[in-house]
Amino acid sequence: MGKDLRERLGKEWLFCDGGMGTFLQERGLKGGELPEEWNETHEDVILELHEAYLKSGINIFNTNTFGLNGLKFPGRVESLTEAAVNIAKKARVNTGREDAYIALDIGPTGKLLEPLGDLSFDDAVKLFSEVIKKGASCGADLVLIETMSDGYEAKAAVLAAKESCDLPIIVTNIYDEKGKMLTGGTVDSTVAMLEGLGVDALGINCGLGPEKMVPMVKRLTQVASVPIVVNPNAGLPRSEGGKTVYDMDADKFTEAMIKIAGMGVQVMGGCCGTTPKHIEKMIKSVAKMPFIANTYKEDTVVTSYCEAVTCKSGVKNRPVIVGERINPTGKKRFKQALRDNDMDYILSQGLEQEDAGADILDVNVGLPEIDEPSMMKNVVTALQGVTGLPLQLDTSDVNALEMGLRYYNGKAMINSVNGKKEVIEAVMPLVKKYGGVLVGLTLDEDGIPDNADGRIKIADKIYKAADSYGIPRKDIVIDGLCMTISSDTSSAPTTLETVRRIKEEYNGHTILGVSNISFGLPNRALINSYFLSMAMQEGLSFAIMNPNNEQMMAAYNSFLALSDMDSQCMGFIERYADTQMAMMPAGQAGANNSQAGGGQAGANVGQAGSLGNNQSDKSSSDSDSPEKILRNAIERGMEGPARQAMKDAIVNNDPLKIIDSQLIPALDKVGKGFEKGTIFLPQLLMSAEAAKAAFEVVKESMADKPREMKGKIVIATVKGDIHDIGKNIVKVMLENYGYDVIDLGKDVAPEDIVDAAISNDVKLVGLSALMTTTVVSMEETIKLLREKKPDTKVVVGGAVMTQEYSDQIGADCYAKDAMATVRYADKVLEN
Amino acid sequence: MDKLDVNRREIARYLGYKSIDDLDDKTAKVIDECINEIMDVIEPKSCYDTFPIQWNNNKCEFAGIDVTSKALIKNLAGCSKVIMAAVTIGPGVDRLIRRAEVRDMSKAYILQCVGTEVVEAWCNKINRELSDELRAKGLYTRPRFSPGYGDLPLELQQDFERVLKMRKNIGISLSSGAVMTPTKSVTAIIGISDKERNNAGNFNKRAGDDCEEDNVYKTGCDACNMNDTCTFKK
Repeated sequence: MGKDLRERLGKEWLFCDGGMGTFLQERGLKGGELPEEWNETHEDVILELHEAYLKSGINIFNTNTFGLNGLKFPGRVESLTEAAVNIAKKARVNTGREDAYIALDIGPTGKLLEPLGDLSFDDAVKLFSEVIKKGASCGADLVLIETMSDGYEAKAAVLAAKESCDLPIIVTNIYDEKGKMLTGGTVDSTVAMLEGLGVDALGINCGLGPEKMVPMVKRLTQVASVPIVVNPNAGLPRSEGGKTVYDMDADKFTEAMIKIAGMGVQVMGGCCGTTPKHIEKMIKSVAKMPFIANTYKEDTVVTSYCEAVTCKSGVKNRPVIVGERINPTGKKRFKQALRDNDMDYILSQGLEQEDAGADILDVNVGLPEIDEPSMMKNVVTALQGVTGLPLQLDTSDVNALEMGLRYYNGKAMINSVNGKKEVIEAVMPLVKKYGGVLVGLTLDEDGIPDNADGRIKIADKIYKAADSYGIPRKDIVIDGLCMTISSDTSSAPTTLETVRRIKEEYNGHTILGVSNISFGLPNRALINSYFLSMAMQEGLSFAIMNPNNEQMMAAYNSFLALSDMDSQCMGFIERYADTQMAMMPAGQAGANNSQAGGGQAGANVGQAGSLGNNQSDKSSSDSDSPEKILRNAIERGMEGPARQAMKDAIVNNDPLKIIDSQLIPALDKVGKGFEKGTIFLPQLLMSAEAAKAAFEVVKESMADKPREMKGKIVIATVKGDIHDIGKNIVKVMLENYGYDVIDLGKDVAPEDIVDAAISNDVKLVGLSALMTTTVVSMEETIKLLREKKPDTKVVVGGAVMTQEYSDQIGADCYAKDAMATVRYADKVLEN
Repeated sequence: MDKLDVNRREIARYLGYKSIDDLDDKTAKVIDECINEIMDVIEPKSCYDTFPIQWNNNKCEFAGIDVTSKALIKNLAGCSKVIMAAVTIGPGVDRLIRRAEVRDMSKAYILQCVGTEVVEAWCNKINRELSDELRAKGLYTRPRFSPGYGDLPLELQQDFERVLKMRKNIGISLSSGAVMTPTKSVTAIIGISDKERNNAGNFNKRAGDDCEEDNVYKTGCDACNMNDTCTFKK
C-alpha cells in the first residue's frame, strides 16, 4: 500500500479507470444480465479487466459493484461485495500495483427517491450502507459514488458512507447538456451540498462525452474547493444492431481530455465506452502536463435541491430575503395548522412568500404540544416538494434540527447557534456532519452585550469554535441581534455597528431578524423599513423579514435601485410601473387590498365585473347583503370575493350559521349542476376553492375553538400508486362539505390505512387507485379492514375503477367522481 | 424545437367536457394560463430503438420480450420490426401540479389535463417523424401501442427500462408498481411493416398474409380496455 489517498488527492495527477460494460459485453455479458453476478460466475473476466486498467497506469480503480444493492440482489449483497473487493485485491497483487487504490463503486439504486418516487431516504441510506460496510471491512481504500442523477440520492449515499466507514469519499454526478441533474440539481447546488457533507473530491461522469462536459467542468472549477474529478464517456453513443457503440476512439478521447486537463481538474478517467486503451493513451499525455491544484472558494452558499443562493465574498451582494412567516409565534391560525397537521396551510405560507420575493424560507414549527422533530421532517420534505427555495431550519430543539438537516435536500441554513458552550457543542457537530450555513447569535452565558465590542467578541468566539470543528468560516453568518428601540434607543446603532464590523474585521456575512427592532412601537412597518435600509447600507447580507409586507419590500426594492444592484432599475420599474394607476380613484380598492396581503383578492374583484359567465343573475351590487355576495361568489368560483364576503358576513352573524345557510347550499347547487352535466369538474373545483377560501376566514376567526365537524373520514391512494390528484380532489370536496378528512397521502400500505381507521375510529374510508396493477392492493386493504375494523365502510374510486371492479374487490360503494363520494359520505355519516 | 401542436379540444375532453363549446370563459382562460406555464417548464426528451420481430406461428418476440398480449400481437401482425419508444416532457409539470394542489385544486386539475395533452402532442410529434422517415424508405408504421392498452400489461415498463435505459437517457424512473415518474411520460411500441394498412384499419392483403380477421386492427379508444366504461371516450 502506498500513501494515504487523502494526502495525494488534489496535490498531483490521479487517474481513474474507464468503462466496464463494453469489455464485459465483448466477453459475453447479455443485455439484461447484471454485471455484478460475474463477481461469482466470471471472476477471471473481472480480474482481466482490472489488470488491464492497472497496467494502463491508473491510480484508482473501481470494484464491480456499481449496481450492487439489496433491491437487485436480496440476501447476496455481502457475498458479492466481498467477492468484488477480493478480485480487485488480487488484480493489484498480480500486476504489482499495490500502490493503486481500490474504489468501492457505488451507483444509483435505480429507484427514484420520495417525494418524486417511492424509495424512502432512510431505505436508500440502508441500501448503500449494506454495501459500504462490507466493502470497507474487506479492504476497499475509498468509496466512489458515481453516476448520480439525483442529488438527494447522492446525499443518502454520502451519509451512508460517513456512517459506515472513515474512507475517503468521492462523488461524481451526471449533468445533462444544460448542466442539470435529472431532479434539477445544478453544479452550484450540488457542489455546495457535497462539500458541506465533507466529501474529499467531486465531479462529473457519464451522460456526456468530454467535449460536451466543458461548460460543467468550467463551472466546477469556479465553485468547487475540493479536487475535481472528470470521468466522461467516449463521446456520443449510437445503437448498432442492438449494441451501443461510442464515437470517440482513444486518440480523439485523449485530445479532448487534454483540453479538460488544462482547465484545472485534478482527477481524470473515463466512463461508458472508454477502454484500457483510451485510458492509457490519456494518462500518457495528461501526466506530462503541468498539474493545477484547485483553489479554495470563499463564497457562502445555501442551496435547495435545485437552486443556490450565493453571497460572494468581498463584494457587494444583493441582500438575501429570508421569509419569516412559517413560524407559529404570535399566530393563532398557524398554531392551529400545526396542531391539525394542516400541511396545505403551512405550504401555502411558503408559496405566498416565494411569490412575494423571498430567497430563502425560515422554517420554525416549534410548539410545546407537538412532536417537533417529526414535524420538522414532515414540513421540510413537504416544502421541498413544492418549492425550490432553500430553507432555513429555525429551532432550538437539537433533535428537530438533526431531523431537518438529515432529510433536507441541499445545504440548508441553520438558525441558530450562539456563544454558549453547551449550544456550540450540541449544534456544531451536526453542522459538521450534514453541512449547512450556520447563523451565530451574538449572545452567550452572560446574555446579550449592550455594545458592539461585546457582540464582536462573541462572534469571534463562534468563528473560533467553528474552526475547531472544521466548519469553514464562510459557513458562519453572524446575527448582530435586533433589540427593540422602545426599551433602549441605543440598540439600533449597536446592531448596525456590529453588522459593519463583522464585514470590515472578519470579511464575514451578517443576518438580522429586522422586525424585532420595533417591538412595542406603533406603525412598526415604518420603523422596520427604515431600519432595514440602514442595515443594508451597513452591509447586511441576509434579512429575516416578511416579504408579504409591501412597505418592507418597497424599502428593499428602493435600496437595490439606489445602490446599483438593480440594473437599469428594471426590477424596480417592473414592480412599480403600475403604481401610478393604482393611485387613481378606481384602482384604490386594489391598492388597499394588496397592502392587506390580499393581492389576489383585488385581482379577482376586477375579474368579477368582466365575467361573461353563463350565470343569469346580475353581478353583485353594493346593496347586496354579504350573504348573497358570498353565495354568488361560491357559485361562480371566485375566491377573492368569497373570502371578502365571508369576512363581511361574520361581522354580524354566527360563522357556522353562514356556512350552513349560505356556503353549503351554494356549493350544493354547483354540485347538482355537476351531477346533471351542466357544470364541469374545473368549475366545481373553482367553487370548492372559493368555498375553501371562505372557510379559511372562519377558521382564522375561531382558530382557538375546536370546530364542529360532520365526522372523520380517512382517505388514501393505495400502495404502489403514486398518482394522487383524484384523491386530492375528493379531499377538497369532502372538507368543504364539513368533513374532517385524514389524508394519508399516496402509496400507503394496507396496514397504515387500517391503523388510521382504527385509531381515529372512522366510519368511512376512501381509497383511490389509478392503475389496474394497484387495484390489487386496494383489495388487500379492504380485506384487512374487514378483518380488523368491520364496521367501517369503504368507498373506492380512481381512473380504472368500475362498478364491476368495485364489487369484485368487496367495496361498499363505487364513486364515479368526487360528488358521488360526498353523497355517499352524507349517507354513511348521517347519524 | 418546433412548436408542439397542442389540441384544446383534447384538453376539454380530458377535463370532462363533452364538447369544447361547453367551456366557460373562466375555465378557458385558466387553460390558456396553464398551457403557457407548462410550455415554460417542459423539457421534452425521447429515446427509442428498433428491434426485429421473430414470428413463431401466431406468437412473436422482440428485444427479449415474449409477447403474450393478444391485442399487441394483432396490432403487430404483418410487421417485421418494432420501434420501442419512450418520451417525457420532464418533471417540471409534476412540480407545477404539486404547487397548485396546495392552493388551487381546480388549477391543479387543469394542469394535469393540459400536461397529458402536451405529452401526447410530443409523442405524436416523435411518432410522426419516425413514420415519415420510414415512409421515405417504403415502410409503414402501425398505430402506436402502449402498456396498459388492451391486455398489454403495465409490467412491460420494466422491459422498456431494460432495453432503452430510460432512467439514464431521458430521466424516466419506475416505481415498484411500474408507474412512471415524471408522470407525463409515454412508452409505446410502433410496428413497422412493408405493407400499408387501409383506412378501415386493415392493411392491403396480399396472398399468403396470415391475417385472419378484418377487425383486429383496433386503434385509439377501440383498442382500450376501458372502452366500455370510459368517460373520456371519443
